[in-house]
Amino acid sequence: MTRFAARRLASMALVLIAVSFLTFLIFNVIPNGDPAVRMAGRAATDAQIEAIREDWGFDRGILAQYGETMEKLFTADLVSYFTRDNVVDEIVARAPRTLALAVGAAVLWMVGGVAVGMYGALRAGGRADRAVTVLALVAVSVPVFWLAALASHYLGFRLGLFPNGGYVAFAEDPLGWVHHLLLPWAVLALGLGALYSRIMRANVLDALGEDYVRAARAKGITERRVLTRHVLRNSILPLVSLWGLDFAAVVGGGAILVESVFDLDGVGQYAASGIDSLDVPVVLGVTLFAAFFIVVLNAIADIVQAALDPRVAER
Amino acid sequence: MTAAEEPLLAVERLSVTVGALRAVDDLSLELRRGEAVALVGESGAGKSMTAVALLGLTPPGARVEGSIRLDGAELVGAPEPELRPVRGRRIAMVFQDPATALDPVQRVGRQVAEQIEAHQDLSPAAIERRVVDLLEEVRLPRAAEVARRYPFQLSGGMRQRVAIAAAISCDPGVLVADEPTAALDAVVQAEVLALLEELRRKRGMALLLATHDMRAVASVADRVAVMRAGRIVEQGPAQEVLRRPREEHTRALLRTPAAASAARGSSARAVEPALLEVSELEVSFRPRRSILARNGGGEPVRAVDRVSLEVRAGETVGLVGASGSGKTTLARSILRLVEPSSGSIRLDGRELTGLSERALRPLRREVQGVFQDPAASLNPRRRVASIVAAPLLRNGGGRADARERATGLLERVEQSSEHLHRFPHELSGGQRQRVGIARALALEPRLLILDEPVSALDAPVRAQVMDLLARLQSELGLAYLLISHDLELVGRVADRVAVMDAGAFVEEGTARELVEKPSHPATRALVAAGYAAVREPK
Repeated sequence: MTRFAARRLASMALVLIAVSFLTFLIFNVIPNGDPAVRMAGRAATDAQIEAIREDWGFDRGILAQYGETMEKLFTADLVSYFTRDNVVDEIVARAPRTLALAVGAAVLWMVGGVAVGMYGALRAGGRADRAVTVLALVAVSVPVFWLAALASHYLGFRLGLFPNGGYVAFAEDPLGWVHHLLLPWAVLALGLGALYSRIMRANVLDALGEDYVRAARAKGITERRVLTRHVLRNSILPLVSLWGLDFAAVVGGGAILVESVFDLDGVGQYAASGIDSLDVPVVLGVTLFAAFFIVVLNAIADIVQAALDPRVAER
Repeated sequence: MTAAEEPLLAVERLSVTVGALRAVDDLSLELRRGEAVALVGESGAGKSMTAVALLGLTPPGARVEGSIRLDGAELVGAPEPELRPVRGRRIAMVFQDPATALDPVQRVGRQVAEQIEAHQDLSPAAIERRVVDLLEEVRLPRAAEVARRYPFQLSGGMRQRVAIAAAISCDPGVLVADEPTAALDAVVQAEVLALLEELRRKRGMALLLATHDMRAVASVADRVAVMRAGRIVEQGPAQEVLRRPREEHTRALLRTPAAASAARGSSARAVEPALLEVSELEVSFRPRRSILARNGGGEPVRAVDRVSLEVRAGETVGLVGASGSGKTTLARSILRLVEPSSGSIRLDGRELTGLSERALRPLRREVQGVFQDPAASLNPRRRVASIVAAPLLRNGGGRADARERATGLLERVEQSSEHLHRFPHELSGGQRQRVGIARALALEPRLLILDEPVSALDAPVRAQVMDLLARLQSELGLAYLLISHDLELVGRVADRVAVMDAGAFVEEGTARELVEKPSHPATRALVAAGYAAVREPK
């Protein structure tokens, strides 16, 4: 188990280095990507551009540039090419918003998905199950920005049940925090929760047909125990690693649309602006932030799964 | 009425209907205290359905009629709260496949404990002690340690012992065992049966053993009930039914692959040159290594360890060993489905190892394989016609020609050509294996590697398939390398038999020599597992 965890951690570091280097490389080879030209502005002379190039070190080898950028990133000295804002500070300021959004939504879609999936499976083929199936299909298909816009317009603006976008820090006003995040959470969780409910339903149906469930019933233990001990646990297992991946994907950019509609000003929105202006330091910072979460959560999901399912650790 | 007269469990006119299928049809059966009754029949005869009906665990939608009385109390139609205390406490059950009947993600001790918890109010420490005692009672070594393991860390036999420990944990009056040994290999089968018998005697438990294995019946049962299509067709004291079966169906179940030996010739074949010559063959698997694992993932596992072997044209060479002894890996390496690490495989004097897939292709026609599980070795999404014709088409045959040949091949294996349009799942196990054989014959090979070709089949079907293989051998002059864990089966048809253990050949000889003077412990275990003596064919 410890070896398993250690190996997982080592491979994480490799992935992060590879991701950051590739990102850096991509932004150095795309057309019109020369940051010196863009920084100098429209009426710049060649000499000015050259000066910027020298000043920022763009004339050096790509490996050297990459090394320097990474060093600056890790010492929190990296600044945006265009706004000169410190990239790490900007991300750190926005991260709580994105994380608050993602964590709440993740809990919501996991718990909701498991509950709805279990319910559907236990009533498989019945009217309730069919209704839930149709609803889940709708929920999966609805584009998240459209749903976000509708929810924000009707529930927020028209009915005034929820604030019209924005974010309040938890430390300042816990209730306000929840109030501001409730709609974004629900909107973000709906699609994934519906998807999870479908997976869960199938898993539960599979488990119910397993010999060990029949054997558990033959032992004379109560149906509730059969369901919680044997069916639920075996059915949730496959969802755990998926959960880690999806959560990381949301943190690493999947929440951009919801962040934008509800004006949460999170990391996703920052990333969008960085990509828009080909601002390499911003993009690199955000990419690493996202990759870090994806990799870390993936590893955590694997470790959790290994703890829940001893067969995984054994490989 | 005294306890001796009144049966402990009385089943009267029991019927179980699932959809349009009457799985159990008007079945009456009695089980007295401490008595062992065998319920015998092919798969699908209704044994399992009868077994689960006794615990009130028929699948949802099944209609149960008739009466099941336990100590006079009616179970059919009893409400769930009345049934639950019966299950596992008064009637306990052991299922066929311990690999699936244990929850894969719970420690086995926990799975025994939960049955005790369900019926008895004991402290956690007391339960833990009981679990260890029970695991010791089913003869698991280092019981306390085993209790902390997960099912996947135990062997099949150990898992079944755990399941038995759970079943007897609340001292049930009736133990229902549904094919408890069918998923185990021969050596372990004998041990598990002996254990069940011992527990029954010691605890005075009644045992209802559902099985298709007549050898198990002979060694355990006081009485036998023979089932067919949901009905009991013959019932009586075990010795009587086994010695003087009244019904043809019972005789069919009793028949073992005997006829196959008739068609075989003399030992004059010894002078013929070897068709297949394997020498010093070695197959090792290196455990998968990760680029990050510092010391390279551990020692290679030697699955086949310097094995040498000859098969001459037209002869049958037997290869026996317990599961895990390397038989299948050897078969696969001869078929070049796994790459040997060293050694040589010659076919007609031509070296096969090291040949590229392309160079190997024409030689592949000569050696074909028939695999253990016909359900798994036939593509479920293809019709029989396309399965059988596939090797023909792939080796440059025309479509119409291939279709015609496929029909001929099915006739060869005694299958009607109307099966051509069916999917594998529409066929029975025996029919599927015939299709597997037909496919192997498509390219007119000279050697068939038969890897446990009948172990997934019931006794009567097994005999038929072995008869078919014998007929094909004499008609087509095929050579067989027959691989099985069943020394008795192999002994009936093989000219020579090699015993494999831990990847290496430990003993070789005729079946008679092996049975009468086994020198290696592995051979002795296989002989013991076979119970009945092997009749050496003349």
